[in-house]
Amino acid sequence: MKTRKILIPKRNIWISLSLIIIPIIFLVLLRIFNFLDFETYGKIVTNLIASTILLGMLLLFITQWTKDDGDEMYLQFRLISSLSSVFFGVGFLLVNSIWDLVTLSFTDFGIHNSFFLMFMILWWQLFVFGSQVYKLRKELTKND
Amino acid sequence: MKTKSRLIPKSKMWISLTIIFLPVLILIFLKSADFHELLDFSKLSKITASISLIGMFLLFMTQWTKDDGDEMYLQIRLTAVLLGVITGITTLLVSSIFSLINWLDFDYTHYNGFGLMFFILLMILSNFGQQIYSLSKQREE
Repeated sequence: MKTRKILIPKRNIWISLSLIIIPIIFLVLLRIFNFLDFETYGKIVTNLIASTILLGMLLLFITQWTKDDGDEMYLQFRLISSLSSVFFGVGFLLVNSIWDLVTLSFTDFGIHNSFFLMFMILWWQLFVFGSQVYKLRKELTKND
Repeated sequence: MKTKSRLIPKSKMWISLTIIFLPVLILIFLKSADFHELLDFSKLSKITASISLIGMFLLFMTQWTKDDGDEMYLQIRLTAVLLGVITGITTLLVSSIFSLINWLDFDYTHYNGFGLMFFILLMILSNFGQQIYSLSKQREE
């Protein structure tokens, strides 16, 4: 099947996980040893690391989780989670803008930052997809 | 069909277009009428941008053709959304690299979430539109 070929086999999941975990460890080490000079290149390095993590999260989303993954039902799951994540992103910006308008001071943590927004979108996408796959698995084991 | 019932009928497309353009027009009017001295303009523009983004999303969820809602359109929508997400991540990665090599002497570190979301939705809509256009052209032939 065409969709199945696009997906990354589960045995290659270490690539996605490495893309997520290694940059975080690298960032923590840089921070601990005070290698990040935020006046010059520190912010750029942080942004690069954040982009790599986001890439890892996307690869995690297109991993083939089960043997059936790639068929019509999983296609629908991916569509629903992707659509809901875009909707979530737009809603997230709207809610924060309203909070900003009524000046609730606790929202002031760089919420309009695009990296944070992209992280939230991918997080939501993975969460919705994961919960749908989990529900399906539970139903299948019940039926068995 | 289940998916078809979730889509917004084409006859109600004016709602999406109004949600996109009306806030922008109001903002331009407020700006030109010097109301921006009385109001917090940056906060107001954020709300306007968010509402316009909702309008763009609703435009994506519009039933464009009679067949829209079937399996093929489902696949087209999925491709468009995935492409949008990939574009978002690539934009961030490329602009980070540009900042690193100081390309064009532009400050790419100043990233805005609204700009990114607009770019993602624009990419989704253009890809979706393009696919539908090529499909209708194929059918005509």
